[in-house]
Amino acid sequence: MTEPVVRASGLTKRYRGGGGEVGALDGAGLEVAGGEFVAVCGPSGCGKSTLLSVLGGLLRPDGGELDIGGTDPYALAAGARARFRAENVGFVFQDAHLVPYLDVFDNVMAPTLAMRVQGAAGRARELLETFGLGDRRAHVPSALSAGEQQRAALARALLASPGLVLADEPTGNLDRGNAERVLGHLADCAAGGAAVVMVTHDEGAMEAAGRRVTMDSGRITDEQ
Amino acid sequence: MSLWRLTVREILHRRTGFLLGVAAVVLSVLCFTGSVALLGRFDADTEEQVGRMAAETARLLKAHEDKMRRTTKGLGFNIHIFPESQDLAEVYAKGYGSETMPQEYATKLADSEIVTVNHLLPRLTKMVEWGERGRTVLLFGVSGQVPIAFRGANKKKPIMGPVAPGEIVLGHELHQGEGLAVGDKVMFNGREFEVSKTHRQRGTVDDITVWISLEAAQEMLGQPGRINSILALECNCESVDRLGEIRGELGAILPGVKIIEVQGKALARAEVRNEAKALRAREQAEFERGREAVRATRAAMIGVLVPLVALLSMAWIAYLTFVNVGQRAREIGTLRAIGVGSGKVFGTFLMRAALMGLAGASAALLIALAAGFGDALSAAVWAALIGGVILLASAAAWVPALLAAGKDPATVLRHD
Repeated sequence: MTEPVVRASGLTKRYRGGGGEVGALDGAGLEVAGGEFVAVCGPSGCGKSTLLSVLGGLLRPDGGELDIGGTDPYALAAGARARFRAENVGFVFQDAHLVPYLDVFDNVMAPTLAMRVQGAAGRARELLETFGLGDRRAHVPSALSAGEQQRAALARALLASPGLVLADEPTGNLDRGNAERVLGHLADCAAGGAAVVMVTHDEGAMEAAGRRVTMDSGRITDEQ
Repeated sequence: MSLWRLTVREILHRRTGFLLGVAAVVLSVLCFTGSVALLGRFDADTEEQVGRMAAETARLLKAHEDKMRRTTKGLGFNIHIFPESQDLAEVYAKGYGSETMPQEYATKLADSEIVTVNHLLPRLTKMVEWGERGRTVLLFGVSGQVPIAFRGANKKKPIMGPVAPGEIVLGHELHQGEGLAVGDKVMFNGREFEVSKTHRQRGTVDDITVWISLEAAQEMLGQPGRINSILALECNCESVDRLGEIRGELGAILPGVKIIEVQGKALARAEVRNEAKALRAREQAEFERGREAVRATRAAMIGVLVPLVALLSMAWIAYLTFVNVGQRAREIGTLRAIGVGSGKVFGTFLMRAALMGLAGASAALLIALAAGFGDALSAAVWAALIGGVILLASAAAWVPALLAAGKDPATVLRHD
């Protein structure tokens, strides 16, 4: 086992809204090493997506400690944290969240808006070939199937070869075949040395991950 | 991937919103340029009108002035130059003086560069008996006006022409009373003359005056080479002390003379001329005032209209950018999540608005050129205008762009 890429302990997060405070994380802790593919599951509202946002440096926790590859992203200023995300974290969402007016190739290249990526164009072409989208690179997202869109989003997440890949229900909108394909690519990504954390309800997806973590009421309640 | 590429692709994707913004900019710029062109055209038209009017006024008034000059000149000489020894009481009593001075004085004046008087007429006058006819007449020996040398070809037309040797001109009472007509031979104190001209009644001493050549009069009166006055007509010089100036100038040339001015004639002449000039100035000023008033009204309207249209256009661009930010919320969240900084998000909205300004101002330039009023602004002003429009469009998008840049990606994606 390699060194943990993610070290989180005692994370808490409460949302404040019109109906009062809602607890999303209540002392959650997680360590994920490079090369690990972790599935986070649990009932709706248990704090899975919040945990992912906190781990990705998007949502500042109310308490707890976080270390991503030796850095606490919340100790950084906003601009530096954005750069940190660009360099170290790849996001895959339930909806592909591709930019609708950019073609597939430009969508995969989107992280270069945030940072310079050495050999980005070649890497983008390579990823598109790997994910079976070599002939779709000039198409806009609306011309792609859901599975193709999700693979394009995965390619975008991997362009900068991040050490941490966070996937929020990446197979939620996909049929079995496409879901297996995406999960295969995520597994490959972990095999390549990245720490992959995936939130899912999908049993098949859980099985594809090497480790399963269950959450309930904002805590990690079980690990297999 | 560059911000430029992202912005341009987005514009091409959401053309309608962008074109609506461009249309607002086109409208604003055309409104401004059209206003400047209208004012410019108004200025040019009225300038031309002023020119035409000035030329016409000048022509009419010159004709009027010439007419008045001739009329007032007909009033006769208004400056009388006498020998210094002349008793003016005698002049006022008899209408002429008995003292004499050399005839060369007139030549001396004419050869100088005198400017305060014109029409120099040396004369020798005396009340005499017309022996053959048993009448008392005023004998007027006149040589004709002495041209003022330095005025050259521009010398004034003479008020009174010379009387040739052997000829005689008779006042009304004389030719009427004696039954003489032009061409008649008549004896005057032992000399024969031919009547060359007869005057109609003037109601003055002219009615009993006999004009003969100066030389003949000098011989007849035993005063060869002598005259008893020089008549002149003063210039219409606008001056505080007209007579003082005339005295100063004449005194420097002819130290031994005294000068009197026939006020009524002088004033009439000067006032007519000055009135004509004032009338011209008043008409011109009145037109200029009217023109300025119309221009000021138009400029005031434009001064309200142009900023209003510009403000409405900016508000429209701001609104369109707000809409654009709303349409792109998910995209903004995604880009922020993958590490794109808020500055770049801000930049893409500002760049979009700036391109809106650039496209709108450029289109307005082309339209203005095609419509024929593009040249109302110089190239430098156009460049400044385009630059200004880009800045204003960017300023209009500032708040929505800030809103976009400040979007929290976690919140956007959580609510997605």
